[in-house]
Amino acid sequence: MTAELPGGQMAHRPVHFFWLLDCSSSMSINGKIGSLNFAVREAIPEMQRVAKDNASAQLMVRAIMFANGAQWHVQAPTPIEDFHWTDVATSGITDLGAALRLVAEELRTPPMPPRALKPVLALVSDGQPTDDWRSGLRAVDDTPWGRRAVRVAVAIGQDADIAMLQEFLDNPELQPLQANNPKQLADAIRWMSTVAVKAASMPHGGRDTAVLPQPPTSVDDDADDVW
Amino acid sequence: MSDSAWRLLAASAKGPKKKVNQDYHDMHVSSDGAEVFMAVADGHGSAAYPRSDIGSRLAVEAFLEVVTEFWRSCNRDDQLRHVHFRAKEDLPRDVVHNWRSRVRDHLEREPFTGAVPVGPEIYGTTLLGAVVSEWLVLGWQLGDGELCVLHSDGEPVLPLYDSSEPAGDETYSMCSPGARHLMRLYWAPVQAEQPLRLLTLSTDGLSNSFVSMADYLDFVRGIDRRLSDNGADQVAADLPEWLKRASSYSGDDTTFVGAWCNPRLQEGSDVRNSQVR
Repeated sequence: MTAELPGGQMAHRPVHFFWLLDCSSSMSINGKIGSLNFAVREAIPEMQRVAKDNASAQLMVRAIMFANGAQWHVQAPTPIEDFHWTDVATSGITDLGAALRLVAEELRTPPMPPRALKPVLALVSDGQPTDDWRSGLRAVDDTPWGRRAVRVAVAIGQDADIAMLQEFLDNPELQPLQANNPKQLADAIRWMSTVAVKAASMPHGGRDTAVLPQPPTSVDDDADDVW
Repeated sequence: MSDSAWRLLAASAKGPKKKVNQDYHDMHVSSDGAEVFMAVADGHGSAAYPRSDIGSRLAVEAFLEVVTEFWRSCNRDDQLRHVHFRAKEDLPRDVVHNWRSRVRDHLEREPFTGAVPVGPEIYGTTLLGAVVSEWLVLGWQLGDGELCVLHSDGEPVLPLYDSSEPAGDETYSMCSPGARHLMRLYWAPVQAEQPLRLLTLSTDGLSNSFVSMADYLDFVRGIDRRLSDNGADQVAADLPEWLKRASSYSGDDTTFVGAWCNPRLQEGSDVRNSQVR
């Protein structure tokens, strides 16, 4: 029989997942915010399944909503097993920069532990930022974990700022996912919340950015587009 | 080996979700039992490094070949400053050169046709190596992982720990530009004080399984205690299960090698960290 392992406390390494959700007034048009709430809620069991399959990583989820400024919707890092979704509501403008500065504060070490897997930043937006979002992005890039974060983004509807989302991604091999109807949004949210977690949860060395598989492709039928 | 005061420990565990173990290790005692040569390497493992399991093996082989030759040419009567210069400047250059040569040979024998650009990068790996002798202890580190020394005071120390290493799993690599300059040197001439009792090398899959580096150091301290209390054979038998458990926490390949000097067989060969004379 093997003797007990010597040494101090052992623990799985955390993967911190941050939702950055656009809750501006335009998200209330044609049921976008309702579809987003539904999609995030539906993605939780998938995230729990992925977390279970990667037992050596501990998936911790938080959420920020941005409109007039930004605020925590779920502030405490919550294990995905205990994560429940409370609907977000809409109001005001699109202060993405405030959201990025808010998450940047959490990507410093501390409060991030030195011993962690790459965090995930998942941005969802339907419009043009109304504040200085580039300074927010710089604040994220100025943190060691922000630079190395796995980033994914969803553009809701035709008015979304694709160039801004592409700059946020900082990865020429990855484009923002386009969601022009509720089904595409649900698919995109499911993809970004599971594939990105898988990519972040696998320990590997070197200097490459996490490689994400191709996102879902939907049948290009404009007749289904509502946004 | 039977005449040596040094006992060797080595084991490795594949990460729970990994297809192959991308770590590699090797170690041996010199024929006269006076020196130990040891190395571990951690292949990067991600999609951009599809041959990193081979790269880690080539890194260990390159290091052991170069360091054996290096050591053969070192003489106890040499000026230590001269040996230090060669250890700091020549050996990193020669190891990286040897590794790149082995990589080229391997690519010629087995051309790579994959989605990533072909070059040394696809073999990317870290490297940790050491020589333990009765008059000098040397260690080299490129990338992450831990080199830990423990003297007769029983306190483990990480002399090459670098808090400026990249965060997360990113690390410097044998395939990094200017790799020879990224190799850090541990230099410890033997002095007539606290003798070296244990030197260990491990990949980051082990330290990442602990909550903190202090918890990792507790592990090394515990290994030393078990060696003294239960003997090297028992620890060697337990080590594979311990590493398997550690890899279930870190999710990574986990490798540990150690050279332990049985205090009962140690006679006055004292090693501690010191400056160049």
